[in-house]
Amino acid sequence: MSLCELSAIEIAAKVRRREVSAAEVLDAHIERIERYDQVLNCFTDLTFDRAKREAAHVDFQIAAGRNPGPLAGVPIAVKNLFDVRGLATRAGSKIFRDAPPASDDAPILKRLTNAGAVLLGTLNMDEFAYGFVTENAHDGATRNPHDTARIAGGSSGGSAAAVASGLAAITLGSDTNGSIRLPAGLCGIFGLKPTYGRIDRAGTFPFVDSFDHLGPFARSSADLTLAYDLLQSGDKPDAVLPVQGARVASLDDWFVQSASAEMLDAVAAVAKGLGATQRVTLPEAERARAAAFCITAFEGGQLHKQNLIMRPEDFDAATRPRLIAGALQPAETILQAQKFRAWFLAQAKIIFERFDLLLAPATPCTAPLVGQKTMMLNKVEVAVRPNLGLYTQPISFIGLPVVCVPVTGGGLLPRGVQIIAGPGRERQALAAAAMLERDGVVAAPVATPV
Amino acid sequence: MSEADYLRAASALLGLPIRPEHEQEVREAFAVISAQARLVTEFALPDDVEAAPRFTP
Repeated sequence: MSLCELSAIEIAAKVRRREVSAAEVLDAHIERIERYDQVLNCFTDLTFDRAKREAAHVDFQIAAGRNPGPLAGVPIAVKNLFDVRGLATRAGSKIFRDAPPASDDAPILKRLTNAGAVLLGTLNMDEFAYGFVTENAHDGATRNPHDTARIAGGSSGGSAAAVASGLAAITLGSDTNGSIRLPAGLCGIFGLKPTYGRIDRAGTFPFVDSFDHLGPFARSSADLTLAYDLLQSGDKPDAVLPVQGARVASLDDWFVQSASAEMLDAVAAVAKGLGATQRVTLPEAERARAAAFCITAFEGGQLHKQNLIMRPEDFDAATRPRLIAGALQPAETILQAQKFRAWFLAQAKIIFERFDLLLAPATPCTAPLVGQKTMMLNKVEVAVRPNLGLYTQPISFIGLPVVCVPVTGGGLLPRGVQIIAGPGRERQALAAAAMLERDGVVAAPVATPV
Repeated sequence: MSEADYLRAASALLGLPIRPEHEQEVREAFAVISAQARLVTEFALPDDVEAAPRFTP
């Protein structure tokens, strides 16, 4: 097995045992990036000089008998909305390409590098995180390592494709309406969207204050859990919640109506793996998705209002009209949407009195083609871009933690399944992901781009 | 009032001009948002539901 196929935990263990140096691990990843990223287009900035210094520091610490941390020599990368010292935080835009470079790393990036991680660079995304496809007008499309004719998903498409293809062991992304879960599912890896407010957003470019979350991508549930533990702001560790005996149900109604048969098969496989036989309805999920849609357009539009006035021509044409139209919505819609948010969370909490974990597809279908405009859902032709997030938006709307697990193999494209927990119960969803991985129900083998 | 009339009025009132070459795409985007907004505003919420954002001094 090559160094690029190892999990983060395996890499760090080998580095700490001096079976391999952090510099050798880095060289292997640089070689793989140089070989495959011309096709995949995951990276927007490469920080190899910095990475060499960080790897050398890890090797120095080990030689001196010190422990560099649980991510010793692990190559990581971040979506290009995270502050990285010395780089402009562009958030996928042309407008901020020439912004002054960040004076420091985002605090959660520091949490990983302080644990011994080595930063390879920053990663492609939809402009201002407003999209599900990572077909960026300024930086190009990121391609899915399982089929490079297809999208990686978005908006954290570079983050997902980099991990899926073995260019990095762990990456960070953001999720406002599905931007971690959706690309994780389409690229066949693990992704965590923690509870709203759980992870410090300082040093990252915002999109929608009401819904913005940050979180990690990885190829194993153990790596995902380790990253989550390192990223948390709180000093008090989470209680470890058992998955044995957990009450699990699959969401029906909205969460099955438009899903393809292969996506429903994936949910059924995960349900079987967790011993779930019951179905439950999260009422008015379609309206929850609609409310998230309106608030997103409004807050995003208001955030970028000055640039929409001064230099609208510099926006991605896929982003600009939605931001302008969103900013001009009547206040009544936004107030009602925020009220609906409180009502919808109350409905979810009623369900969590009966169940511990809920299951739903991450996407209605597997990865569409790059450039594909429409797709068939439930025998109706719909636009690809706004409809990939049908099943993720209602959940991030109320800030619930979700682990997206990859159902891969069988000659099919990867299919992501959301394991949704009650607020603050990330650990239980992570434990469920670990059990499924142990039992071979889910897996994220490195994909060699084809 | 049509959606196009509303957009022109809101654009002027809120000081967010829409360039002529962007009018069509903004109208289309607003139509999509409006369809979603109707799902939200037509739903009868209990009177005691408070909006979700909290101000914590």
